[in-house]
Amino acid sequence: MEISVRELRTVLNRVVSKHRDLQTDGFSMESCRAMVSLMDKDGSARLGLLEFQILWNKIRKWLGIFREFDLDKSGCMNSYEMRLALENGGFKLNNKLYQMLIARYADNEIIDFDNFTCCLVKLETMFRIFQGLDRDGTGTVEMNLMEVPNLVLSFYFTAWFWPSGLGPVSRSHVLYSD
Amino acid sequence: MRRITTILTVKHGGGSNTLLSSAHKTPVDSLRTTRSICFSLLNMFLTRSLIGGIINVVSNIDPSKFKPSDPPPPRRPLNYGEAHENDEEKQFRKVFQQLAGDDMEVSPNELKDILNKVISRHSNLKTDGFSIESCRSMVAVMDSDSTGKLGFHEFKYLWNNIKKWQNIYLSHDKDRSGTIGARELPHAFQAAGFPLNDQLYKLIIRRYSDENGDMDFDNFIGCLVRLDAMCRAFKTLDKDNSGTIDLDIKEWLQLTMYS
Repeated sequence: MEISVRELRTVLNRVVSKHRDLQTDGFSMESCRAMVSLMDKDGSARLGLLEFQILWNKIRKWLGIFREFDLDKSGCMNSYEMRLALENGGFKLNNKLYQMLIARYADNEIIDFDNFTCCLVKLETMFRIFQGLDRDGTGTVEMNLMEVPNLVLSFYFTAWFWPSGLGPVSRSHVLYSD
Repeated sequence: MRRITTILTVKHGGGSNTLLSSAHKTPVDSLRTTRSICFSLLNMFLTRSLIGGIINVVSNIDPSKFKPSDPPPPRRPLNYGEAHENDEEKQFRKVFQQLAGDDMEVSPNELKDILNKVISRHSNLKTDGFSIESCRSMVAVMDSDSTGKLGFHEFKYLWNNIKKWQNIYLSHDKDRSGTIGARELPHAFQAAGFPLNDQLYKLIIRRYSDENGDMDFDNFIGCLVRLDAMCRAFKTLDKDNSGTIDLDIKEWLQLTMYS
């Protein structure tokens, strides 16, 4: 009744291989782990039916955005297309952050579909952790040096460190200042 | 300024705080009856806890023993470096130039190649090789100017850290298995400047070690590179050295997207 990280990866790679317009070298275990972790409420590292369905809808939405902003129909994103896609995916960031993300996820300055998805998963995870911590909406969270190891593990064990749940899924995550 | 109250309050001197119940309930009431069977099965999984009841994540870490590596030296123009190098550094620069190729920077792929070449010569380091994902992550955490590649000083800094951690790996692999076992890990991490606690070691082992609890060399390095980089980034933001920082969402993202 539950799908493991490995099983998710198999399903995703099978589905994606059927979409020949998408450039990808396949989803890695690390990306799939981050996806499961984002959705996984009980820390079991497996997705139940409902969690899987929510994830699947997300991926379909991101697939739509990827296709829409792949303006030159190359099957992958360049940095300009990536910025547009991120904004449209609800992440209005600043120049520095866009640059960092592109540096992190691109291979020779282009981002293929699995890296695109991984980037969005991690962005959403981090936004929602922040919002979950900042419940009174001050716009800042306090962090202790001892909590740094938690962050290093956060994409693997989101439910362990933030069991009261992540912040809400909002339609857009906007940085108001620059 | 909102204190993180849910789990992570620290008391110096090792007082422990309770944290979290591991069972997290999903709202069952809103489900359709057709799915109710699936969900009663799911509920069985929800009550099972993996690490056991309450996790005490933060207590008994001694903050004064947390020692990430020194920050990298300030960037200098390329020719400054070359005029003031000793022989060993000159040699290293030659190697760098060969490795970096025309663009004078080391990409994740180039890093992966050199790391895998080097470890293939060390039979006492067990590893299945550095993956491209891991190398991307390592480049990202060292890549202060967001070019996606490492310049000379960034690369040198990373290389020196890897050498240092390699020595720690070898000296703490007491049973000469080529890996760091679950019992050897705490000492190795302490020697590297990261004295954590049992629960964190357990999670690190789940994340980075195999089913026997043994961590191979590429995972050891991958973990330390991330830990080191995040601690350094933290310390840069902690201007008054108080051990706590306030982050807005921009700073938060910059800090966390490294991993």
